[in-house]
Amino acid sequence: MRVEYINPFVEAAFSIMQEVLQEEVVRKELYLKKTSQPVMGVAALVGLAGDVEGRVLIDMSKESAISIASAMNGEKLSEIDELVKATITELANMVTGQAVTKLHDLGFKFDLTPPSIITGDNMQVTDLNVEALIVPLSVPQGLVEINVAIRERI
Amino acid sequence: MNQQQVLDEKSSVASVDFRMVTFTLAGRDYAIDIMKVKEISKDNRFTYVPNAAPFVVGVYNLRGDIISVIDLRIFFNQMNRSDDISQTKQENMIILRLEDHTLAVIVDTIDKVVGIPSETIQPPHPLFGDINVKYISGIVESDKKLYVILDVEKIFNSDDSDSLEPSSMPVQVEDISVTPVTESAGGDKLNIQFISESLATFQKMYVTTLNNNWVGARYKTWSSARKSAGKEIQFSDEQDAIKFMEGFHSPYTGELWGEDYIQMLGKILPDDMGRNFYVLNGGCGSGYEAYSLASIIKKNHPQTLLKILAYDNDLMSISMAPSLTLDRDFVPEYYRNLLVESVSGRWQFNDAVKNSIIFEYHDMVHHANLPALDLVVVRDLLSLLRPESQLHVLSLIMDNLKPGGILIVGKNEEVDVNMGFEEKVVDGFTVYQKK
Repeated sequence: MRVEYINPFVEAAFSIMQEVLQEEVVRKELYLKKTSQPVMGVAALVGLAGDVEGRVLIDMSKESAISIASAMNGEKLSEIDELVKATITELANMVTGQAVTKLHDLGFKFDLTPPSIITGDNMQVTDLNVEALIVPLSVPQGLVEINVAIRERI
Repeated sequence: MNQQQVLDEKSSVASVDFRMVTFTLAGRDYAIDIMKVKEISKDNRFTYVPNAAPFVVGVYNLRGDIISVIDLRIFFNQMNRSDDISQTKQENMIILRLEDHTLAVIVDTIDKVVGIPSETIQPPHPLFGDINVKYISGIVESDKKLYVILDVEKIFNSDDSDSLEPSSMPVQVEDISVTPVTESAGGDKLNIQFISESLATFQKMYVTTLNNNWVGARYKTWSSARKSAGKEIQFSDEQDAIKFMEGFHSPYTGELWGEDYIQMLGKILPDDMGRNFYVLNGGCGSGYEAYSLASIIKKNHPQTLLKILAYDNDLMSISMAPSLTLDRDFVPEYYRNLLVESVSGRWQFNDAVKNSIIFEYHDMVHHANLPALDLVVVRDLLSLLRPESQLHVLSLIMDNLKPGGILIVGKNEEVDVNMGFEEKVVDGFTVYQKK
């Protein structure tokens, strides 16, 4: 993935998580992953198009999704209901929105698709011929992985 | 006709069990198994599909079925026949029925159906380098003509990911072996084996045919030096491994290329570069090599649209690369007029140079989306990959390099020319040109 794209995504993910949760967010080592990767349980998917093509996946376990949604809504939620899904969708919107704004300022033009939420067990995501950059963030509610797979149009 | 001849004839007729449709591409004879061919047709009305790959001419209506039409000449870069592809000319099409779909391929001329005994088919030889060896299922002689039999299932298999796996390339698998080959005696051989293993542990360097000539030569100086110093030949720690590796790395690692490399690169660049020139720079580290390449190519051919894809899997180094700053006094004269002063008082390359490079955080072992490349510079990168990955990356390079494109590897690395390269020596540097 192009170097210029990395920081906007890392910064956006970090600052949005810190802002919405008001808790300490710990950034772990970034790494690259090959095509097929397991998805933890709840994934918000945002497509990107424009100068590049690809997608951003915000991935967390069901338990983390429920506690993050609880923290963001200020009430105790107990299952993956409409409110939890809507909250995680909003989180994905905020992270990708901020990253794309930063990238616009640097001169890269992207369009976004609305986020879709995917839930289930033992899921995998595959992007043919693109490797994914994983930005792991550790928050008190659990681990959240921002998984970015984009490639240049050459 | 005597009886013996009649018998011979009979037995040869009886054993014809493979029929193939023969055709020509750029004056050469090729064949496709007749069982894959549905029919033959001529037409010139193809519906253009926007945004399709260049070798897809369009779609064609075959009595109600819409099938895609692929121009094999473009697909295999065989465009040197009469270059007038006028719109009105009827194209010869072979319609193929593959496992899961039907498609048409355009060829120069369609010849005839030839029947042969299948045991006369010989395995592909790497010398038939016009078309990638893995797409050829065999070579056969019939009526004094040599036919290259194309494996159409493999060429048009929609799942191309597994065709990249080394297992589907039996010809090349033997080329890179883990065991170093040396002419020395048994004890030395064992020692080199140990050293090779330690190098893999300490330095992540893997000894294969790519670099074992250097390791063999280095071992000789190393063992005599260690003996005279009264030390063990084997490494006792990482420091020894680092010491052993002294002299392996190519010149100008981590700095801008000097005069000798500038001269050499200037000589290997084609005079007519065309409009676009694509370069792959694998393992670019913090970018000195990519900037050197960009500067030299820009200076020699300012008109060409240059794109350098610079990859590294070390996040720290590659993150610094786009904003690399230099101390002007330490920059070789050659590069100085390409520098501009940045706010901090340090110097950076100008936008023309910078914008021709795309730095990516990318692991070469993973799949990549590459354009057709004119030049590949991977100095001292392949040796740091596992043997199977070395093969994988080399075949990736081979697949994406244009015919006549150049590969530059490290000073102490050697590529097996049987993969389809021609070795060239320019100013004492060895480079590899794709045949």
